[in-house]
Amino acid sequence: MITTDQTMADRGTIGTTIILLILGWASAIMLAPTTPASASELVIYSGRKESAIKPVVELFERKAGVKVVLKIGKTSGLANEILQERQRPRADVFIATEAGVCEVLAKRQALDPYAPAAARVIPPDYKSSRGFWTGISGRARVIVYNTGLIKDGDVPNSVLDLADPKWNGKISIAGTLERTTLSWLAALVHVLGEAKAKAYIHGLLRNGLKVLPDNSDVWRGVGSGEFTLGLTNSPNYHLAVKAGFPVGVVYPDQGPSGMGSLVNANAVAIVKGARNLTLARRFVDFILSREAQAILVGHAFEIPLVPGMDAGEVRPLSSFKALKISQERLADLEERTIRLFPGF
Amino acid sequence: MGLLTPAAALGVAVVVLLTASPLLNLCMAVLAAGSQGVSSLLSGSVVTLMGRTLLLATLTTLWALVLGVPPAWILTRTDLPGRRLFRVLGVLPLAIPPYIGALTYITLLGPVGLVNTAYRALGASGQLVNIYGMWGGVLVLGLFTYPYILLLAGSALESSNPALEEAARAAGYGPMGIFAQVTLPLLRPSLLAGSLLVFLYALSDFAAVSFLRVTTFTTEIYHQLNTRFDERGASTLSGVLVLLTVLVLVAQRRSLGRRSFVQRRTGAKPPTLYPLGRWRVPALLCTFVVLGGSVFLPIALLLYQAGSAATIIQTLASGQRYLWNSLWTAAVAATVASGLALFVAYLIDRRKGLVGLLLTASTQVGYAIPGTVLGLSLILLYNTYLPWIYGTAAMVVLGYLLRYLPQAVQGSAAALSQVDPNLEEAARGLGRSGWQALREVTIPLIRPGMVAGWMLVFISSIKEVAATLLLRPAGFDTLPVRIWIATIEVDFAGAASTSLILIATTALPLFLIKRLDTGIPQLD
Amino acid sequence: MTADGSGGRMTEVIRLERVSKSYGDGDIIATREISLVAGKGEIVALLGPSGCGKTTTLRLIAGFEAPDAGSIEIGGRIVANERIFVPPERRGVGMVFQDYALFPHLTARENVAFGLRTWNVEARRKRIAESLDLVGLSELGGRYSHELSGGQQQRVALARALAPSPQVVLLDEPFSDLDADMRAHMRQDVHRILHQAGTTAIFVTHDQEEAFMIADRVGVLNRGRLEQIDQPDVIYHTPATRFVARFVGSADFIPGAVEGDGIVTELGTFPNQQGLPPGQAVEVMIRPDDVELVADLAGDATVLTRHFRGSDNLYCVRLPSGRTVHSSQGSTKIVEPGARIAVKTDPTHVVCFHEDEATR
Repeated sequence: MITTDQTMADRGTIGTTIILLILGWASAIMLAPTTPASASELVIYSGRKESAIKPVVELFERKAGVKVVLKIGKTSGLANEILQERQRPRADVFIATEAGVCEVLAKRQALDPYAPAAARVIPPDYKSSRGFWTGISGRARVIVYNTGLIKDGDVPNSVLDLADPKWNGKISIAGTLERTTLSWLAALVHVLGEAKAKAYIHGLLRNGLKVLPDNSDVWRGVGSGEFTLGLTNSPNYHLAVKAGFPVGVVYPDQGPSGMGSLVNANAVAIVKGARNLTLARRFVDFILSREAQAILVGHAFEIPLVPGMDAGEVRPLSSFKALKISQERLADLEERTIRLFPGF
Repeated sequence: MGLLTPAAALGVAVVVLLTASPLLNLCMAVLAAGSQGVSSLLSGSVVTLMGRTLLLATLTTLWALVLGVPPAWILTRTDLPGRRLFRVLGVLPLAIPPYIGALTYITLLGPVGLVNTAYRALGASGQLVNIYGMWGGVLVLGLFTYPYILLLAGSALESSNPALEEAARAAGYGPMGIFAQVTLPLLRPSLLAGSLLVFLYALSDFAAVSFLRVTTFTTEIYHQLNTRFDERGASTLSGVLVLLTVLVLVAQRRSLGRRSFVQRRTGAKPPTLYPLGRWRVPALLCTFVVLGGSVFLPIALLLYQAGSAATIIQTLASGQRYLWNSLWTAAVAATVASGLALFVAYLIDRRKGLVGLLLTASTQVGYAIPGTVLGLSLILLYNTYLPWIYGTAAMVVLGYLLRYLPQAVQGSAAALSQVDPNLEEAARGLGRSGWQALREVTIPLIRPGMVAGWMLVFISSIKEVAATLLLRPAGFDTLPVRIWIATIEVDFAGAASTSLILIATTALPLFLIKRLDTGIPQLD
Repeated sequence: MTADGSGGRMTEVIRLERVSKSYGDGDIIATREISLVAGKGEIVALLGPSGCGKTTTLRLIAGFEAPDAGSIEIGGRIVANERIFVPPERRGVGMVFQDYALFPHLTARENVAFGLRTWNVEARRKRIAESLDLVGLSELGGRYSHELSGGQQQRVALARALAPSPQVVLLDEPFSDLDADMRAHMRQDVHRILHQAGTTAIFVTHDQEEAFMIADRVGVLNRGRLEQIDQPDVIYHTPATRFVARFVGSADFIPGAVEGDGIVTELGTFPNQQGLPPGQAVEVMIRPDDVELVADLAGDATVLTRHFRGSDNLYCVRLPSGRTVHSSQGSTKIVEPGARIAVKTDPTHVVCFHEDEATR
């Protein structure tokens, strides 16, 4: 039995639906800046905040006459995406807030090695020995404090002193969403050994350590007096000062037997299979140039890794003791450390 | 009317595949997580997480009821002056996504907020209030979801039969007694519906709870995605969350049966109005407080935070691209959703049985999956099987489509159910084919409902942030994404300016829907 | 008389041959092998209680349902059988729905015009005017359906159905949505309109009075089966089955035995009009208007109850055997319950039934 009437109704509705769907997809694909097919677009995934990296990117755009597509996110999250997209890489350049994650990516063959001439002057601790990533600039793990709530002399000189009960509820730190925190935890494991590091961290947590989502929450919290002390990265101290907060800073563990302050290098790497390899390399060259470095130091208060650069307000590498650890070791430890402190 | 024609069957298959595939893929990912997933599930932290999430959702619902029921009654059953205007304004909080609400209340009640600053200026030390934490989450979420309760309860109160209350009055009950014995039981279905809506919303919310530093399932999933290199943890948590939301959804459906959410005016006698007399001032106060806290105060705080009109204009100028991205993705999603919804609603209405059930279930998937989970599922699915779509803005449109298709279907289905099926038959008896009857008779009649559905999807898509964060390709930011980034980067003026621009794009369609007065089935 | 009750000479417009339809995989049988014929200009009523399949039959003719078995012809053309199915829009059938189904977004005039899309402008305009005039709504053409009363809406629905000059117009319980006043009025109007238009009509109703008033022939349906289709008086006086007897008017049944020329019952002996063989046990149908009662102290029957119905009194009477029958008497003839009476019957038609079977 033929039911022609139903066919007509359904066919018409189907037809419209299919047309609508096609129109929808067509407009989505056509109108959106999808995959940069042309040679004049560079895709950068940046774990570093927009406010810090954008000026550098914009300068590059002007100088190289190209368009840069910037995706801002969390370093680990972006690394995840790069791994996911391995079959069809979308990103050309990856900027990470610390180098351990680049080692992880390198181990999984997600990066394309590139050792530019400009990288030769970067100290070996802050670049990949096989050229997979290069440190751009550094940030030290420091203790920021509110000068109204504590006297300069009373601030502990070692992070290990922070477990003291007198600091109960007064300390804040960013959680492991911030990759720099993870690398700091991994460095602790390296220095203290797993057992002692665990004990220390749990001591801190029992002592009311406030774990915040982001470093900006930390320096703002300390600056406003919500917390007395904050464990964060050195540029944030300068940002707090710039914002007019009454803050001071201590570079911890500087004593002769101290472990030193961990310095995390912002690292730049080229994604394997990047569509715009040439442009990506140009960008790496550029970000290591004095021009770009000057912006990073002056605008984002990063520690210059390139020797001979005027550090301005920032304490240069030579002026304090940095925690000695190889990035490969850090990378190994990070993967284990994340499991040691779930929920951090 | 048993079997489908091949064309219709194909359409059904496409819809079901489209909507169910992310969920299925998620299930597979959860299963792949295997024993590790199960063991992490049973760990204490997940149980705590579940407890906290459920607590947040429950308290939010109670708070939303407190905020929504009294104004609903005052605005429909008393002679409060200006109540018509208030009812229109009462819908406005839906134009303000809760995460923007969170920002404004942080400005007011945060550790360095206005209240604490004033408190310290008075010489005190420390802080009077701190909005971060569970109570802040409840306060804000409830404040920006109570309109669901207001709308549903108000609609029920408006269309209820006055004869029942008159009978109670004749039996000697005063207003309080009537309310308790007659009105409240009548309100129960709509209150239940609204409560479940709010509950579901609180379970799924991501951005607001993130800003307010409450750890829930969604924030934990986001955390896992951005700290680990495998999705197993995130997938397992997502599975649990989806299970929770599906349970709530089933409870909601069961409690309502096939009843529509908004009862149309039956044209019967309007309900009796109670004169307020000396209660006028408290009633006005109550209404002002609720509306103020959810509309006027936030907007004022945003203006304050933005600083000046110049900042807003500058943000608009430099952020044109983001505005455009938001507008076109929302518009495309709304259009495709409307088209699909018509097809689906038509089949559901005209064909009962398995097909209708299948379509209903699959299009409701969007409700059950919170934005974060949907984003994750789509990434997993499309990256593996349809990589040419992955990484394009089409993913964002797809996210909106799947998440909000239920609303469009609801709108079309509600409108369709009001249309006498005899009308189509009459048209066919007069020489029109089935398709012509649809076009010339049915569609003109359901057009207002379809337009309302389009605008609902549009508004919801504009506000969406959780899935967009995950799905957006490089360089493709929408307004909510910009607000998110600005907040993280402590650019509060920028966040506030962008928020104001966003509210401008959602408030207008909301007003239009209210004017069309076709009833608002479900919103997000 | 042919088996389906039509006069063979009239031009056939509708022919149903053994049309069956069931739903739910055969669980619910809507129509069972219904056969009927309607001639040109004839008005046929399908009468029966709800669920008897009358609306289904209508929808089968219209083409909104397809039969499982049997065939349907309209105007001599097969529109439905095992292999063929002509969709409703091509059957040339007009339909008036129970709730009128006027298009709410169109005016009355536009509603009427809806089926005239293929006509040329001038002819269409003329036809619309004619149709509205036919139903007496010429001045209300510009109104929308919500601006019209129930009766007016029905007339627009009728005009709309008739405008394209269909071969047959189908009406589904056309008067059930009207109040009693309107109903009586509309019945006459519709009757007149249909006759004036000369269109064949089939309408469905559960109201026997209505069916009798309007239709030329009435078909009684019971649970999907067409039990009888005939002129109203034939149906009333000589029902084919017990169901028809009970449904159309009231009926009591008393047992009787066939003895030669007569059938012996408690109420007397009736002529054996059907020529039934002797010795058979039958039940004789007795209508209340056939039963006379006379107050008689020596009578052997008693009045049980009396209901004053305005135009008559309905008595329930107990016969000596204990069986009850009903009697309809004039409105002024009052006999109180308890009184002894004598009962007399003299029906013009003697209708007998075997056990539960029809015997015609």
